[in-house]
Amino acid sequence: MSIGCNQIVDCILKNCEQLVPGIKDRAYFINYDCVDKDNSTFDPNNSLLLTSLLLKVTSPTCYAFCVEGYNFSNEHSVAMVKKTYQKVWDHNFIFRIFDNTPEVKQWIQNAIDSRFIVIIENNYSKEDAVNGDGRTVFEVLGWDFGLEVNAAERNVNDEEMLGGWMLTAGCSDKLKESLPPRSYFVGGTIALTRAALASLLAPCCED
Amino acid sequence: MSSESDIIAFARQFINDPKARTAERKKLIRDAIYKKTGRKLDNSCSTCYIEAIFTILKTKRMANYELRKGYVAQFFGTGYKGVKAFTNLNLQTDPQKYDPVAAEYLRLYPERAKFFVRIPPVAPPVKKLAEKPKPVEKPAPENVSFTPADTMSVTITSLTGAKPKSRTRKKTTKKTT
Repeated sequence: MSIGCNQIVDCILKNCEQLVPGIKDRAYFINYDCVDKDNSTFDPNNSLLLTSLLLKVTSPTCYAFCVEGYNFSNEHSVAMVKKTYQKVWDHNFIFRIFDNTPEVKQWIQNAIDSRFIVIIENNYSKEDAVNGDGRTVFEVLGWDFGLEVNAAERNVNDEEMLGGWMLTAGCSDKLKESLPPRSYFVGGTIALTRAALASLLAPCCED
Repeated sequence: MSSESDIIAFARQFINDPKARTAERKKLIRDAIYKKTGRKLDNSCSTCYIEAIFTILKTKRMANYELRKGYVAQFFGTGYKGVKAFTNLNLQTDPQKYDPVAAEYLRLYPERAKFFVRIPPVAPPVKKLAEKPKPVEKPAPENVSFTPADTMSVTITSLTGAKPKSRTRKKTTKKTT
């Protein structure tokens, strides 16, 4: 370990903004193999700030696929995991599908057999005149290894789910993420970030 | 669905695979053709959908440029024609406006061509045929003066068509004594 590496170098002052909990109902799933990590870029001063997320040019075409919940049905949590030598991060994403068509079941079966990264949209959007408003909005889960579906459950008698599906995506049992979820902020504005995200979306995602 | 590749893939699948002719896809075609031509498709006519796809493909002005998904092309400074940044979505939805912008972007930042999926092929420079060397024009003689003998010969030629006899001096013999 070199001197000066992994040391605290800045302050955290009181946040005058009001925190808003929760994430939006729409999340974006990208197959892990579709992410072009070679050409995606991070802020040179902060490796937790993803400034460009590009997809590979392959056939079939790579996309970001939407999964829409209902009434704040998506949940996200992140937790540090202490290993013997290193500390790593567990990214979790719980989402609910209020349907049970053959297409939905096929989607779930495909998801179970795959790895993917998830882009979530936080309700909390911090105003920041210096660095740009909205840097807290989008986050990318599973950048290092991708997430996988760790649990899928459907209980037809569940009073809340009414026979819908509840899926839990997270890291592998052993391989955890090296860092917390990356913030996704493109071009210094939230408008450009949304434009970049819109250009990733699959045709089925269009409103 | 906006990019050229998406539309072509959609059309290919719809035409080739009867299983792909789902109600959702048919609705997409119905909506698209209605927006394009104002024509309402008959639900039961399966070939009408394929004809409609060809109509859409013919009428859609395809973009010449295509950016990588997720890339935001940004101009430094004031931008170009009021555009400071654009994505692939802009290129595909409004190619008339954004094709020149993309061309300008590539002109300014040629090293960012790697972020483009499609760039129109540049026409090879037209080779000019080697020009024949122009014949060297002889400079016109200055202060041309005609002698009476010349004028005479001209008149004789024009009248008779025969060459005037050249006048030569009579040989003189020296008298020997």
